[in-house]
Amino acid sequence: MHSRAYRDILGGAVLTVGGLLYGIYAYTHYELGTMSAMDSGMFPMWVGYILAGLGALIIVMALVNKGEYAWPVIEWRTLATVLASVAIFAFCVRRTGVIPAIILQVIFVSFADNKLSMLKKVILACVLAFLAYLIFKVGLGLPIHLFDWQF
Amino acid sequence: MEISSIIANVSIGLSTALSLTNLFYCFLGVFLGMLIGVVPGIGALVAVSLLLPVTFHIDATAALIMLAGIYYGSAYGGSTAAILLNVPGTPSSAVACLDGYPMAQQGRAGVALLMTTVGSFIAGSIGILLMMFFSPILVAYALKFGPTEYFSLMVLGLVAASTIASGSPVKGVAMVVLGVALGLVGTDIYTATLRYDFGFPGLYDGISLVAIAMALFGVTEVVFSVRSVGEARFKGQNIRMRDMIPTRDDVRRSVFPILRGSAIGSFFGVLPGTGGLIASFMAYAVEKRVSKTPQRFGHGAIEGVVSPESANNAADQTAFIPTMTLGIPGSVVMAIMLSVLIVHGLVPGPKLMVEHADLFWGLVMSFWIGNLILLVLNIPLIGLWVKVLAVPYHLLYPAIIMFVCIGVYSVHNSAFDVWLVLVFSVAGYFMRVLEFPAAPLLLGLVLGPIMEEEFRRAMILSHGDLSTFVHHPISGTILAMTLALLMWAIWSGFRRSLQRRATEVTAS
Repeated sequence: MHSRAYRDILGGAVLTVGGLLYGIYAYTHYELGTMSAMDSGMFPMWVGYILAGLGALIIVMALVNKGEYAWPVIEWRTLATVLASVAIFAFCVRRTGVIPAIILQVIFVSFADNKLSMLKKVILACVLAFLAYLIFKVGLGLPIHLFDWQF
Repeated sequence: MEISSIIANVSIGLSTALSLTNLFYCFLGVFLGMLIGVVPGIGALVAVSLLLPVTFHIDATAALIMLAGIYYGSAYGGSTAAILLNVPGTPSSAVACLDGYPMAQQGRAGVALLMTTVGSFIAGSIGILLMMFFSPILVAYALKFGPTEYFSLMVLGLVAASTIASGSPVKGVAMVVLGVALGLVGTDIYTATLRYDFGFPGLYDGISLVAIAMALFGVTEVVFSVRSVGEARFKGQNIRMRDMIPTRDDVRRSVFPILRGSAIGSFFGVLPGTGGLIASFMAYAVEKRVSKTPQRFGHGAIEGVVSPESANNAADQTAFIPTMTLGIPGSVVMAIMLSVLIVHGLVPGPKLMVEHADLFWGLVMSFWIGNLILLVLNIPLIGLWVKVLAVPYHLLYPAIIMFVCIGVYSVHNSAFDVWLVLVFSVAGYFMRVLEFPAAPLLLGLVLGPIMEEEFRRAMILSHGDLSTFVHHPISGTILAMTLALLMWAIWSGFRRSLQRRATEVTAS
């Protein structure tokens, strides 16, 4: 427990810095034009500055408001497992084709809570891969490569 | 409005909605809607996001019909889970648990299910009728709007959607602006300048909305739910046809709550940022207030089940009015509907109804068909839903992640978009941990490019004079309303924190 909303201060800071960078990037990289003939940089620049202003406002409000705040719990393991499985898919899909990418991804992601035995993981992966084949290849007729080998 | 034009619209709509393809997607939509409505942990938003990639490959009308079916179908399914299990399948069904589950415990689940289904259908019908009669009037009025009015209207819509329902109005507005900023990535349509692409060809057409929606509402949801969603246990209660027959007293008690719920729902559905969730809470509160026997509420009062469930169904239908006639979405699901239009090269706004009457009226008439299917199918399928509820989450979440990946990939055969999912999942997770709402971000993302366009047009017309937004009477009024809303939201947030401090002082 602590007396300030550090979540808001942190989040506000990210928005302030991000907004400033966004606005300055527009100012330095794109033409601003004039108000009556706005070019590509004008609108984004102001959007960035407004974002920064709102971020700063969130920080100020968090500093003024005192109360009891708990630290958030972050599920690092679940997060890492799920994200890694998405990364595996993204990495494999062009190299091995869709079906192997799905099978690897499903097996990997089911480690997030690890309630299934290895055999069941593999069965689930194959069933889902078949389902994806039915929906996207048979149903919608998309030009996706089911199997590939491009390393 | 003359009768003849109504008949003409209905016949255009029916001929579109009754085509074999559209009937199929309507059925698919409402069926999936009921399904995901029943399953706790997957709401309409997740389902609509997951099916968004499919809409790239089918006709725009069929795509809208399907997504809309999921949306209003989920309200029917949500009440089933609430009554049978005391688990809201969707957030807007949470109130139905209060009296629905006690009714089930008293062995009256069948009556509750039948009456909510009938109430939902009546409320849905009222919502659709309102849409049929008010849309043309609204469109006739809105066709006179110029870019100045449009920009102001979008500001009002975004501010309302991001402040009313959220805990912190400033955070909500900040997330809208962040969404607008992300929406500006890609090619500037006026000058063909590439903005914020950082050399990635995958960003030339902007950040993929599908990738962001999947990341924020699919992946983030899974990461949060894997360890928290318990297994729903249904303690066998066979529901026979005989158990569903309501007593005369049940019917008498339900008639006015259904109508009041429909009225409340229709009203809140049109307003941006409120929708079914607030409508259902409001309907429950009103019923308890007007009841002569408020002590029955919470112990299985049928009014407390049918009224909120009618309200959220009416709201789900009327939410389409501002979205389809003005191009102003009141919620994320509605913003996704708009994005479907944009992807298919259609411009949201009042001209849509005039130029694409078949799409507009086809969608409206599909609501009738969908609601009829729901009326007929919801109850006979209860046996199936009970089995669906037994599917554990550890089989479900790998499937969700799989659909996210293959779905995002399938849109442009682009692995880059899948990597984007990864980036925005990290962002989405920490946004949720830090309690920054994700829904306004998506609204900003969809409306951002349109807002910039209208703003630039308005500036050209006014020769760069910003006061044009105040001097145009309609625009000025809208902006004044926005300001009032913002002040009210900030003040009520401030008052809440004062009250909290006051209770802390008295407690210590």
